[in-house]
Amino acid sequence: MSHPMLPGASHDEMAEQLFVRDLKGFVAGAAEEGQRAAAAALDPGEGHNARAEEIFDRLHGLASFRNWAALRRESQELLWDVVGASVRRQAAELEARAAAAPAIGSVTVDPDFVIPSHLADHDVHLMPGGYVGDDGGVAQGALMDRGGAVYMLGRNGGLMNDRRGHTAAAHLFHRFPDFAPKRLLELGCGIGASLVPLAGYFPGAEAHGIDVGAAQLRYAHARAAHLGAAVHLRLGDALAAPFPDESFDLVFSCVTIHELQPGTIGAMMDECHRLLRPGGVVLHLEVPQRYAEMDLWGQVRGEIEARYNNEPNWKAATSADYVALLGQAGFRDIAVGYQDATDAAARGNAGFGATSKGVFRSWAVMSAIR
Amino acid sequence: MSDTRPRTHAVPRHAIEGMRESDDQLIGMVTALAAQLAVTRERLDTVERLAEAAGLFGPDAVDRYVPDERAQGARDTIRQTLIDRIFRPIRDAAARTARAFEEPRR
Repeated sequence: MSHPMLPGASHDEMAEQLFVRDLKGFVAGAAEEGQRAAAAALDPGEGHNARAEEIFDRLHGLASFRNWAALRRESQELLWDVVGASVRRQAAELEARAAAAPAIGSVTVDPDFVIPSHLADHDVHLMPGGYVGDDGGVAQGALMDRGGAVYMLGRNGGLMNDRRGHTAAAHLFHRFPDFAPKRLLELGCGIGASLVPLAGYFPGAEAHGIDVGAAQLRYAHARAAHLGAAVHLRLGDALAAPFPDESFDLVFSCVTIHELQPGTIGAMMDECHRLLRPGGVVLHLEVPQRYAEMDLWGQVRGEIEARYNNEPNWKAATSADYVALLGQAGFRDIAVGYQDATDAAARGNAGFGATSKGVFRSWAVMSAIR
Repeated sequence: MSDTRPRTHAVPRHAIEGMRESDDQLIGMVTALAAQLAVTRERLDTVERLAEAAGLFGPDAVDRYVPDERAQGARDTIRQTLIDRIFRPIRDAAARTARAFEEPRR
């Protein structure tokens, strides 16, 4: 399944994108196992107070690690290079398709919006221009969408890239089977790949999303409208959303926390509390790993991601005590665990538990009541 | 004010500690080259399968082919695009160097 806004790929572009996908598979395969073995050999031991960081540092003494790390990054740079060229080829057509989208929903771009400092001139995942890049149209959103589909290697709902939204809905249905929000908000909605499916489970609800990039929002709006979803999108910071107190019945996020400024997760929980009416529900979906439970190589790989893939807050997001943070923000009935990834949420469906089934098979979820 | 204009390179780009910049660029070029080779092989495979299925021509006809002016022009574009892609790391590094020299002057 696809949608009308997704950039296509010519014969050669598809070959390039499949090459990137398979190169990433190569880098993450036997070549990575070798790095894991090297990391174990360079381990300073449990007594070291910055064990993973020390291993990361020591690995750089090995040419085999440096070359692998360079190839790993190059696979990511190549991804954006080939997808970017494909999107630029289709730029006019994409703008025309956006203009032809049904007139439902809205996009509000506040010219005085201040981009969060950690995302300004810091391109997360090495996507040129990052979340905020803007040519005045939809190109940066198209880059994000097509690049994301290639990056996820089909593990997040294929070309729809929407499995996280269905999974978030499955968690809501598990915990609150009768919950029917009238107004819902996603913080960090990006191209709307999670907002659209989640909103689809609550017909008649007013669906809002905020993000930091105008081009992402224009693309998200056109994408949603072509799919028949009326979503209201505006530029906004997840720590200072442009809405009054108690505006929503549901506030949620999907993999936004690990892109926050380090040290601000608590502030985001406070903001969710402010935005929700009493009795409203907060839900966050994140990567399905806990730093403390990760094996040593997983922790070292986190250092590689932070340094060489511009991933700002991954360690803090996987280390945070969400029960404490949600409690401090004033929430009650807090649940933290893992939700099975799904493409179709059903009311009362289970699939929530205390253990992760692995990357792309589970997502970490934290939910509570205001 | 943040710069939100479109760009083709991501920032920041940290040096891989202990690695020579030239080695990093070389790996980039080999990677891009391999990608272009994969594209070419796949395209050739498509052509051969289509031609064979249509009963049009075999490998000998390809060997005898001489491009006319229009075909040669198209080939020039293909080749120049290929060079632009494969040697992107050199171009990017040059741009980074240029920016580094420009920044202190701002």
